[in-house]
Amino acid sequence: MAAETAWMQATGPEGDVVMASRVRLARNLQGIPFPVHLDAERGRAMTDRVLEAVAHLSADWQLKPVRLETLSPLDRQILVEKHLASPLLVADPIRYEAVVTDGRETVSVMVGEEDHLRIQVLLPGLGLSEAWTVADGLDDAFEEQLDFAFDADHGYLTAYPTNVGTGLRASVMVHLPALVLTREAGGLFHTLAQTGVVVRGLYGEGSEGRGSIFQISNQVSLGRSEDEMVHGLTVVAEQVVGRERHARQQLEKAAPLALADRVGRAFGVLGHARVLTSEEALQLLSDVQLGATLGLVPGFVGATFSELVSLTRPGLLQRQAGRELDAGERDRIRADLIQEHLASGSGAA
Amino acid sequence: MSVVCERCGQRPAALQVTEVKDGERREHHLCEPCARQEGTLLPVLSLAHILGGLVPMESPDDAGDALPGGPSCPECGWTGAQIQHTGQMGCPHCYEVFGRWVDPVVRRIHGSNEHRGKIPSRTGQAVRRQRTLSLLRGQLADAVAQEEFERAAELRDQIRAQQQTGEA
Repeated sequence: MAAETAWMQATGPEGDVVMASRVRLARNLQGIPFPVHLDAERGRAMTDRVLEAVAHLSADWQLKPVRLETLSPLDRQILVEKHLASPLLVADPIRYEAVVTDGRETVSVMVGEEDHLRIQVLLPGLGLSEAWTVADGLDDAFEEQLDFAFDADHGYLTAYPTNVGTGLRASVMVHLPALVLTREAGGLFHTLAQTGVVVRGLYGEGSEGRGSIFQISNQVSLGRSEDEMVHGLTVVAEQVVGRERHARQQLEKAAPLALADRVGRAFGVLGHARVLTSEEALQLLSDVQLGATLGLVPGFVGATFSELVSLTRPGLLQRQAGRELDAGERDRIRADLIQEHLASGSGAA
Repeated sequence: MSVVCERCGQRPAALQVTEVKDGERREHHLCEPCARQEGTLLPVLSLAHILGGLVPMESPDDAGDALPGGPSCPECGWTGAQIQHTGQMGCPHCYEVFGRWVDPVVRRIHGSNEHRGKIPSRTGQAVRRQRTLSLLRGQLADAVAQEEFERAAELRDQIRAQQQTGEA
C-alpha cells in the first residue's frame, strides 16, 4: 500500500473548494445472495470469482487485490482514511471481504460490502465526468467476465433499493469554511436536500462538517442516465463552489482584520504547538487553508491541505511513525508532522 | 388518481393490505387508522412498513412481524419480514418476488420505476434491443403523425431489421 493516494497529493479543478470527486458503481453477481444474506462459504466463493476476474483484466488497470483477512487492523483503518474502503467493509467480523486498488489508488473495488462489488474512482478536485468515464470502462471490463444482476425495469439490482438502477453514486468532497463561518451552510444544505442531493460530514454520518469538510452526493440512482446524474451533481458542485467563493470574498471585505487574525493564529498554533488532537488540527488546517485561498498564507496550497488532513488521521499517522501509538503519542507526533510540513513546504507566511 | 379507503370511504387509502384467507389472496385499500382497527387483516406488508425498514427503526419492536410465514424468495429464502428489518433485499431474484411491495418504495425514493441508464453489453443484449425498438417505434409514430412518409419507411425497415436480429 502506498503511503499516499493520488487525490491527497494533487490539486484538481476548482481545488480551492473541491478536494476530491468520487464515482461509485454498485454491482452484483447473478444468482448469488447479497452480502447481507451470504454465508461465509458462498461469500468466499463470490470473492474468489471476482478476484479471478480481476486477475484476467488488462494489465493496464494495474489492479492489485488484497483480502482483508490478511491485513492488520491498522492497515484496514488506513484504507478507510484514504477513502479506498468504507468503515462498513473493514468492520469486524471479517469474513470474505477484499479490496482491489490500482497503483495510484484512484481506483478501488470493494468486494463484499453491501453489494458484491463497489467500483470506485476517486480523483482530486472536481472531475466527476472523468471519474465516471474510468468507472464505466472498468465496469465494462468486469462485465466481459462476470454476469451482473440486471433487469430491464430496475436496471442493476442492488442490496438496498436505494441504489438500484444505475447503481451510481457520485460525490464531491468540498471545503466550505466561509459558508460555515457566515452561517450560510445550513440554509444551502437545506435547499440542496430538496433537490435530491445529500450532504454529510467528511467521514460519513455523525462526522458533520468537521474542519468544514463535507461530502455532497446524489440520492437518486434510478430514472436518469449516468451522464445526466454526473452532470447534475457537477452543476450542483459548481454552484456550491460559487457560493463558497462569494462567501470568502464577503468575509474578506467585511472583516479583513478578524479574518487575517484567525488565519494567522491558526498558522501560529500549527507551526508551534507541541500537542495537537485530530479535531483541533483539522479546524486549524481548515482556517489556514481558507487564508491560503485568499492569498494570506503564501505557499500553502490545496494539496498540502488534503494531504495533511489525511496524514494526521490516527491510522496514517501510525503508519508514518512505523509503530502503534497511544492517543497521547499520536497528538504529539501529529504536531511534529504538521510542523515539518509547514517548515519544508515554503509555507512560512 | 388516488384510491379512497374502502372501509371509511373518506380518507385516501394509504396502505394496500393483502388478506390471505383459505388460500386465497385479496387486496384491500385502507387508510392508516382503518388499517390499524382492522388488525385481523394481517399479514400486512405495507409501503409504510417497508419504508420503516429503509430508514433507521426507532426501536426493533417497531418492525413488528408483518409477514409471519408470508412469501419468501424461492431462490434465497429471504422473507418480507427480513426486508423490513434490514431494508435490504436477499438476492437479485427478490426484486421479482417482492416487486409488488418494493416497487412503490423504489418509486418513492427515486421518483421513477424505469431504468434509463447503462445496459450491460453482454448480458443485456435483449434489453438493449427492446429499448432501441421502443425508441424507433416512438420515432415512427412521430414521423407518421407529421406525414414524413419517407422517414417513416426508413424507420419501419430499421424496426424490421431489429426484430429479425432478435429472432435470429
